[in-house]
Amino acid sequence: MALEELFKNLEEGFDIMEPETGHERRFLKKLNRQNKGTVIQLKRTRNGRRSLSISIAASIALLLALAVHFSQLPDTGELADVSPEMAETQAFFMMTLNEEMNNLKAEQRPEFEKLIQDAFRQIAILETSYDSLKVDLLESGDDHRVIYAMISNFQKRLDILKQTIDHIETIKSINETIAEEDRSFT
Amino acid sequence: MKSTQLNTEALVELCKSGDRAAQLELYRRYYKVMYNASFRIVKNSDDAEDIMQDAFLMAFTKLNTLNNNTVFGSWLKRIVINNSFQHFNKNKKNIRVPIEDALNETKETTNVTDIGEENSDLQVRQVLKTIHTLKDNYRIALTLNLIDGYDYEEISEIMGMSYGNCRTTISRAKERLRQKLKKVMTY
Repeated sequence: MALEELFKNLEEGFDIMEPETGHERRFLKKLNRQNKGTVIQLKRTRNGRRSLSISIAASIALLLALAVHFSQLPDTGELADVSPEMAETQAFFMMTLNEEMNNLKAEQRPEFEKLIQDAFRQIAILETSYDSLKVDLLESGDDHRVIYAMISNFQKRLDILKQTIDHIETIKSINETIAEEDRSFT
Repeated sequence: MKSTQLNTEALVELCKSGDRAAQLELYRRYYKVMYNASFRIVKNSDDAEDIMQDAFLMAFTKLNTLNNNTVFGSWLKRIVINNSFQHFNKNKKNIRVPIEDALNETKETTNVTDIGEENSDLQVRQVLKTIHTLKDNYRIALTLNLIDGYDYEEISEIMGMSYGNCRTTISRAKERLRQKLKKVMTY
């Protein structure tokens, strides 16, 4: 098959990359900055007091409109922005997660290094997917499926931490039994 | 939400009056194509995103110079391509991230459901990877020609070379690509 034909067959498929999550919000920010910029330009190009005051009034109106618009949107897309109950849920998870993280960090010893590192790596993966859920939450207008996904994301993180701690406890107790047996032999 | 049902022409018309919802909707429709077009040239995610977004902003301010709303997509893409090439030229001397890293990264995030799709997806990756082993001017000229569908004249304009030079570059690049592809895949 000719090279040209191969490319023709694959045609639409070449767009395989996606920008990093949150690109739309970053774009909106830029867009807002630009819109503000054009108002100022208007001000500069016009002369005469009346048109100046009109353009100032216009820019104030625009700023107000933007402010209203953004106060409607939860700015961060956190679970806590959905409702007071969800705020409570998030606070609970955050607190428990912090606690368990500290418990795990307290176990930091060379022999558990790998286990702990692995747990943190898995948590990091979940954190990135949580970030994209935040974007989804904003874009979907608090869709309940996104909310469930967020809660189960927290739950999974908690599970990973608990499992790792359990794991470490088991290893510790095994080691202790072995050490005891050794002692009884000598 | 009404803007989702509108066709692109109508959206472009709304954008001319500065309608923000229409601007966002146009962005949603075109960001991916534009991002990928830029990425294939600049080979860096952050740069490609910036170039893509700035091209939208530039396009929105210059919309009045666009006589025919139906060509918005190709007009925007040309802005993206031009800016990407300029960016590439400026950063030529800088260190480059190997494309394999970026391509492998996406492999984990793209879940392809259909098996047939998966095959062509693999093929796309293989082809892209191979193109990215070519030297830069071969890679860019070929991408513009075979993937983005520009003709010799347009490419010589974008890359700032003569028509003849452009033609030889592309035919040599195709030859190199053919040789390299032969080793890794049958097509």
